[in-house]
Amino acid sequence: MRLALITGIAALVLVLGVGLYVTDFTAYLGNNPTTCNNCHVMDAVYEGWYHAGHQEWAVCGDCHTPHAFIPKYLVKAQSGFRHVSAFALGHIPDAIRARHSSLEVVQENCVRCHAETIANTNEGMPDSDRYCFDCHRSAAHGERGVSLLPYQHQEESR
Amino acid sequence: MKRTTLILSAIIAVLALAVIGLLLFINSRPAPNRGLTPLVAITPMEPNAEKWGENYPNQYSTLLKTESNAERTAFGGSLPFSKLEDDPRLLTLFAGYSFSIDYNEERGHLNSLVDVRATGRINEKTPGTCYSCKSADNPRLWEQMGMADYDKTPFSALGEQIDQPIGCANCHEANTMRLIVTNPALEEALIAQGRDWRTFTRQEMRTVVCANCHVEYYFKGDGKYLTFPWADGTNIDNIAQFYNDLQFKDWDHPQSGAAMIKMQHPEYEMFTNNSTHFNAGVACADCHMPYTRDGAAKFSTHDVRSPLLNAEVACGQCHTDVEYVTNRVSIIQNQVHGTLIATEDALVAAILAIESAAAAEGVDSTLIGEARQLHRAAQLRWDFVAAENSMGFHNPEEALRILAAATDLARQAQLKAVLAGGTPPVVQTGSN
Repeated sequence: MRLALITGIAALVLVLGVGLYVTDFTAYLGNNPTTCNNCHVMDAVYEGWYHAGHQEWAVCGDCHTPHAFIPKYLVKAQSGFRHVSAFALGHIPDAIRARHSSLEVVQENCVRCHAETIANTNEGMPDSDRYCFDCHRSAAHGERGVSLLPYQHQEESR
Repeated sequence: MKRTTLILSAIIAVLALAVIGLLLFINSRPAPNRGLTPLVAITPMEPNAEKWGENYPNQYSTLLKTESNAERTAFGGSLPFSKLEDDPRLLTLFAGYSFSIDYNEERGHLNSLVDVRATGRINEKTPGTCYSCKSADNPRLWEQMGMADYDKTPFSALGEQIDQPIGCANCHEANTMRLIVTNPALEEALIAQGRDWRTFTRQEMRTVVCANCHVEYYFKGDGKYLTFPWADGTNIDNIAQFYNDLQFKDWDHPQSGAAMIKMQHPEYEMFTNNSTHFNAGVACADCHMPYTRDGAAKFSTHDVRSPLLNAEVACGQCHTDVEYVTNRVSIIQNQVHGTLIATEDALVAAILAIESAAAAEGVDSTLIGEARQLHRAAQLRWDFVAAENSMGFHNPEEALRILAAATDLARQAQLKAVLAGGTPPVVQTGSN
């Protein structure tokens, strides 16, 4: 039975290793926006961000994941699991909407960078339950519309 | 018992290998095509934009607007007004050169071929080089003939092989639509600087492809080989030094006798020389081809024109107060224009002073020679700002720095001429 156990563990390690290698796992630990754009469903939001005013200052992860180390990787792990499952099982909704927890993360990040600005107007957080981006809708991804994406992300896709 | 263990281990191993095999198989699949699925395949370097337009109707239909987008801004735009009528000083500054015959504001991209054939600056001696920035046939012709032969062919003979204005093939690789450097002169200029555009990011390319044409250039040697004077760097002082080392001239000024240089539209050099927008990561295409929404579709408009004619979209992508920033543009351009005119007055004064001093009796020819050198140095600097299509806005501080230097050099030229003409000793030495 020991042989079977050893074989099993070795097989598991090997399969996991090859799996991580094949899926370019380390890329997903980083902050490169082209990694998020590995999935086609991100094309429109990627292009919208690329051509809008935040491109020079913030990448996907700066707004969509928490800033602190541990929460960041917890969110990355959760989202990653959800995205992979959705992709593998084909449960991708036609209109992708942010979950409540995502909205909270984004809101925190708006405040993280723009704290000084809102301190002048609101003495901190707005007292209503609105998000910054309820009004500043086009700040990150530009005006609404579907990107046509004539551009092929050759050198940037991986 | 032992047998069961063996069988179990074998099953685990086979399953694991199967999974690994599957993973490797998945990984070896060709990368999927990103973006729109093309309706038709485009021949590499296809000159006719209409064919590309079947795949990219939004980009093509906005490109078509460049034929009729002739709207004037305060200092530029796409309306082909005569710069010579607008500012008669240019007749003196360009005396003896074709730019004193015909010098109009340029029109949109689709008019390039019509306009280059209609200009009064073309004659029977004009080389084919002048087509280099005017046609989407060029990438194909450069590939077939090589640029040396292309440039050697007379303008009229080469024209028989050219019937497309500027189009898709000037900046895009067919089918992938990747932005590429197509002009061999740009490729060579970058290599001379030790740079390879194939390593540039997408955002860098959205500026570099404009340098296929929107740059200063000269025709090298008898073969009229298209060359960018960038070997020492791309700022005006590097370029002036480059031309001096080469002892290059475009023409001799008939009044001052100086060996002159005409600058051509150095938008790329001006913008990329530490301008605030360039240093902030903005590309040419961000303002001149802003991301545009038409119905539900978003794309970079190919109706390339002054951002001032489209400020809500062009400036509004980053600036929230569009009225404020367009007012800033107006203030900056008026400052640069006022300074530019003062420089022109200084240049005209220098030309007239050298002309009359040279005609005087007992003139000091060494001093006149120095005055002519100063005239050349002053005017090529002024022209670097004047011929650049933004009235300084692409790089306001640099434009004003250059104009300050040009005015200083022009007044120095005038002083030298006055000295050479034999002014009283009191003026020359400051004492009796």
